[in-house]
Amino acid sequence: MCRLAMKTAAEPFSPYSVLQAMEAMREGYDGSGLGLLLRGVNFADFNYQSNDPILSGIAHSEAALHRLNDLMQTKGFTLKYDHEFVVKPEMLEARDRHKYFLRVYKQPDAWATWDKERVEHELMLNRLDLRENGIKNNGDLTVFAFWPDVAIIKEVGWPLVVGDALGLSDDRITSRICMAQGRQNTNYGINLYACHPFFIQGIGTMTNGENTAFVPIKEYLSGLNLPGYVGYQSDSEVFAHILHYVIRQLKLPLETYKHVITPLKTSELANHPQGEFLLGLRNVCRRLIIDGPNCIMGSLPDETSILAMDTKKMRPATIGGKPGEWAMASEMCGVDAMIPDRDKSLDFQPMRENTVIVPAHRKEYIIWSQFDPYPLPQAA
Amino acid sequence: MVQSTNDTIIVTGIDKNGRRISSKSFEEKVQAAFKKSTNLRLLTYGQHNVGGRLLNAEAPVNITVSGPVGQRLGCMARPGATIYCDGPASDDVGYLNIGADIIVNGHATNGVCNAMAQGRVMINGSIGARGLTMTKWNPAYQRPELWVLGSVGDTFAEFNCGGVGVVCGVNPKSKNVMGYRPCVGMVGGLIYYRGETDGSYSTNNVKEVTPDDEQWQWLMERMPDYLRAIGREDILADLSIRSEWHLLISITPQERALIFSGPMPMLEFRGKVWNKGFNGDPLRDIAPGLDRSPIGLIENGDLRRRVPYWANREAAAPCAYYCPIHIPTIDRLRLLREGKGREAYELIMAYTPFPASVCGAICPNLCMENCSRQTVDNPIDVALLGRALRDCPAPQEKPAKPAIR
Amino acid sequence: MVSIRSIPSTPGSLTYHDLPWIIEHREERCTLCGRCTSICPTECLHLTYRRHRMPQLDILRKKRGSEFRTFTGIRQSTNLTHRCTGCGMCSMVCPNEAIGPVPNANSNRALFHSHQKGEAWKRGGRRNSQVSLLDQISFNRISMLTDPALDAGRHEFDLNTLLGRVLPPEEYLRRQASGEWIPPVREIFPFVIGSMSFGALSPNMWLGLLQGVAYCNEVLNIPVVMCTGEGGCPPWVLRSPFLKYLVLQIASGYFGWDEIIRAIPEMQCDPAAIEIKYGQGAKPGDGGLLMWFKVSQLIARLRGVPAGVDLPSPPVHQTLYSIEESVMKMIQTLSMAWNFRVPVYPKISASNSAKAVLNNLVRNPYASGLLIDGIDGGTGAAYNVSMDTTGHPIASNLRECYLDLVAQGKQNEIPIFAAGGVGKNGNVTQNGMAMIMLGASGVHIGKYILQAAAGCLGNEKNRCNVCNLGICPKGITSQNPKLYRRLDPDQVAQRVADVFMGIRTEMKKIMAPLGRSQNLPIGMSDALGIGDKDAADRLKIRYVC
Repeated sequence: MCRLAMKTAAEPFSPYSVLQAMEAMREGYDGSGLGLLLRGVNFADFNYQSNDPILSGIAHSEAALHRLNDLMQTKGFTLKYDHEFVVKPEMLEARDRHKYFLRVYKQPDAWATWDKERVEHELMLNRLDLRENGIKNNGDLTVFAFWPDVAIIKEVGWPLVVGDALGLSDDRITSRICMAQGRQNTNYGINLYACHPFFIQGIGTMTNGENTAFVPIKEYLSGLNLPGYVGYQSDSEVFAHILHYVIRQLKLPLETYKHVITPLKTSELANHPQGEFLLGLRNVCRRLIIDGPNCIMGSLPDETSILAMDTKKMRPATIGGKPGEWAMASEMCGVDAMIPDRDKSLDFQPMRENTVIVPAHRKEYIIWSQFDPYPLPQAA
Repeated sequence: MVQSTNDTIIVTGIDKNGRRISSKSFEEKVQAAFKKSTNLRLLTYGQHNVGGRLLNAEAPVNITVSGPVGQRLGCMARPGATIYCDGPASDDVGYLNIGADIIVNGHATNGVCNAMAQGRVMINGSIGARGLTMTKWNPAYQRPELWVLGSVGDTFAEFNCGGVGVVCGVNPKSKNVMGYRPCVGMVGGLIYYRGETDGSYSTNNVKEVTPDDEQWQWLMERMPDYLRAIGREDILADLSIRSEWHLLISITPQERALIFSGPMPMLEFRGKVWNKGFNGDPLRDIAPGLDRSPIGLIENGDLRRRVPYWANREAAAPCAYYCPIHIPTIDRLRLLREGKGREAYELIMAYTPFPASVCGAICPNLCMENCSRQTVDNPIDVALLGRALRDCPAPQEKPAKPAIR
Repeated sequence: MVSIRSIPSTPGSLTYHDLPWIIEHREERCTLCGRCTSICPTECLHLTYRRHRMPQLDILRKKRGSEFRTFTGIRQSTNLTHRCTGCGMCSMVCPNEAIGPVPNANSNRALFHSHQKGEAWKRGGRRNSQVSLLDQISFNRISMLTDPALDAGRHEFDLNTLLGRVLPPEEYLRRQASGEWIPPVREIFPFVIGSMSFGALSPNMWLGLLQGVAYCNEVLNIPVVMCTGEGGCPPWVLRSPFLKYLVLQIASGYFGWDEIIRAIPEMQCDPAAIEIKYGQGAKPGDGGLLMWFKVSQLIARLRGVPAGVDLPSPPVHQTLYSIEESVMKMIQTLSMAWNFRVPVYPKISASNSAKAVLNNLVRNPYASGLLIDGIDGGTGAAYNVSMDTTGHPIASNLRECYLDLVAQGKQNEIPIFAAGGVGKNGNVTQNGMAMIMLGASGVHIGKYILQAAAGCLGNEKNRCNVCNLGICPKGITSQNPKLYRRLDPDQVAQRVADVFMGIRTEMKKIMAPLGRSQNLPIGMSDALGIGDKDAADRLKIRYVC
């Protein structure tokens, strides 16, 4: 089973500390991959303005790098900062990593007058464009994210080894949120795009377990014909896209996510104060019902973090911490490794109806239950 | 509780370079240390299967575990061992435990006591999902016990087969102290609990009762021991209020058979639900009085589908069959061949009083038309036979039979 | 005893070796009780007398001779009107195992004489083909790795499906916010009892089925619904609380709709849905006909016609010009009848043109679904040629339609129900689940339920199949009280309950290893495999061997 670890703190911290927590859970997965999503990014060598988009990815050859430079230039982006990883290639399993890039760009000047929605749409299209370009060129260019304040690193191997190979312990990159997944390779081939966390327009999720309803959900999302609902090298990618769909397309509150992926039973909705609306919602979003076992962790652009379970509660996860600093992990020892000095009696393990939400202020976490009254969207 | 002795040996799960060592290496270090002392302090970094497999017949075994505690704490632990974890623990605490006391000074996550057969797991906090599942109880030994101070997660005690669970409901993590759908497939053992639940326990497997005197005594005798182990003697009085405790106890296969014997017999359904829905016969207006009651396949009387038709004569000779009065010409010829002219004559007279005038003169002799002999040469000449009887004397009148009284 | 020359030999003469079924009668076991001859629905069996020659050989006197004796026994008619249909009722009633039909392994010459007196051969049943593509599909994607497979006995399963138009989520929210009409959606069990009319079925059968359906809903919590077929619905049933388990069918004959319209103001609840029949898989493009002898007083009253007349349902609706317009007008009319509270969907026969109908529905705001009925569907009466050769197998037709919806992103909106041969060889749950994973929201079962719940004797070897003649020996499709009273409605209801409990368990046993429990696996084609490469390519599923 893949192991998940996530930390969110008011003060930026090194992703390496999360990798060390992955290490405590080491014997639960096979080290076939690591995915890291950093949000609220700080560079030691650069004074980063958090609305400039960061391009995360790998150029697998010199030619790809040149093409990337050309493409970005053509699109009107100006490179402001290019983070240089101190790479120890001999520690990596993969041999074709010409350059890992985390680059801060300045948006084209023309975008200045655009509204937020359009800018965000355009950023996604640019990422998809680059990704497409890489795929066309025998996969020599891999792009994970192109979004303000978010950096993503994915690599094959044990988390701590990857961290050492990329020099993540040097504190040159820190962040307020770090999501990490240590991969247990299963049904799908090792493919960097199949590594969690998955990301779309500021929304990132990672899961473990398998979503057996993958194919119908994938077909449904693909059929929506929304740009960005592509990929699906992993059955778990749909979790990110469903969250995106619920929040950004349907513009529903975060609590809705759980009602969409694991709706209550008809008999339970009959006793729910907003049961009628939720039953209708369950019907219209029926194709988005997941079939776990899954543990889902996610984070949103406003630095809200969430933790939820599938309906059968077939996966473990614990959240613990203290005001200003919270950790969630697949195993208690992962939480212990990230934040040992906490009030451990406040630790919480979400059950089938829960969504744990850590708001951006990070003073406390909220345990929300599907049985709780649901905040109905405002009538028009 | 661990007795502090001078010979406590510390084993750490981190190597000189600050790197985690594997569970295998850690276990080797532990076993080596255990050869020197039965009192160990284990500083783990998420290693699996810590604290089990340690047996010493002479001395009590005391193991203290700290640090990020990995999965399967106290796995396959032995009687006589006390494993004290000074913080929370990860999944599968007490996995396949066969007799040790395992104390967790904090919460534990999923799968506590999975497949445990004996011994006690005592939690100073709450646990995650699927606790106390697949537990065993060999009647030659004590029952396995799980003590939880707070609440338990979803799907508790699935397939529990003899374990005793005690859920005290102190500072529970959820309003539903027993979690969602506990006791599915539970066939033995019992669960004490205190606090609110959603009532979603599997009614095919357990029933809720209040503890009887014996059960209550069992709980109260052991409670102080548990509270001492987790350092909460202060709440003994709070946990000693009998009216607050409930028991989920497995039902017998016989009781279960009754549950499965059918939710409602169809006859009862017809009376209670079906007929009531129509306030009478559903066809009463369009087919008043229509009898639709079941009948058998073969019925007599009015329900008989076919009236018998006796077709014996179809099997008769063509002459007899086609004769309007079915004179058995074949028999007649046989008698004649045998020289019994008189008998032949009497036979005919039994059929017709006009043997000569009808057969020999008036009748179109359908018998001859259909005679099979004509396919060989000529049909039997019945007219001739008839005419031959012209001069026969009339038979004697027989005296009337006396009437039967 | 009849002389050899009197046996006619005409062009239509058949011997029992030419017939599809041969009666095996064992004289030494027969007690001449006559039950077989009295039960035989086609009056095929009759008592005969035969002459037996017993050869006599007197060795000492070096003489040979013969003695004759008469024996009495059962023989079968070689007249096609009274041919043996293999129903086997004779062996069912025989107290002594003396009689029974066996299929004729020889070539069936009777087929060449099936057209009699200027009429082409008509019968009931299904296409006589034992081949079932659905039977060949297996469920291969077993969860063995990341996730443990589920436990059919332990976990909870949501097995229900939706019947009704499902809005795109955005549209739902918009209408919800503005208080606009939201199309009705029913949560039902995905195995629906398909349309069989009160008329085609006997009163005891029809009411027994409905009683079983009510039992499933109210006692077993399995929300089974059943479709009336075209023939109306008894007025008290329309006014009963069980109406909500009924899908009312309207077809080109419009039988019984006067009673339905009359009852609307007095209904305690709404019907589950309205089905508009445009076609039937067993006889596409052909109408229905209830023969005069099945139009009893009861049926006549129910359908609002005089008794003892032929009741034809024409192949097409009389006042409609094209199916597109028809679909639009009919759906609108029927939706309006219940103030748009009841889902209304059309039923068509599987066809290369099904996609066109589907696309019309996608754009119709009131269409609630589509039922496609394949060539293997059953019927109470049709021309043999229609049944055997006209129509389209359901699997690829359904799959095409579903993938068409997927391409448009509409697969959540218009549920497609599939019918036609589901469970024809007895594997009803496997067949139905294969359909669902190919993209059906549910399946309709008709013939299967007759076989399973009432002991219908028909099979794919043309056994029995006399539904059209009103002589059903089990009392399923007859209006003769002496026949239909053989059927106890309580026992039919009990069997319906047994069947659906069994299907429910089997569904879990199929879904659990696939790791599915939260939602019916509609379109989960990655789970399916078939050992036929061409079929795999056509259905876009995995080829396994």
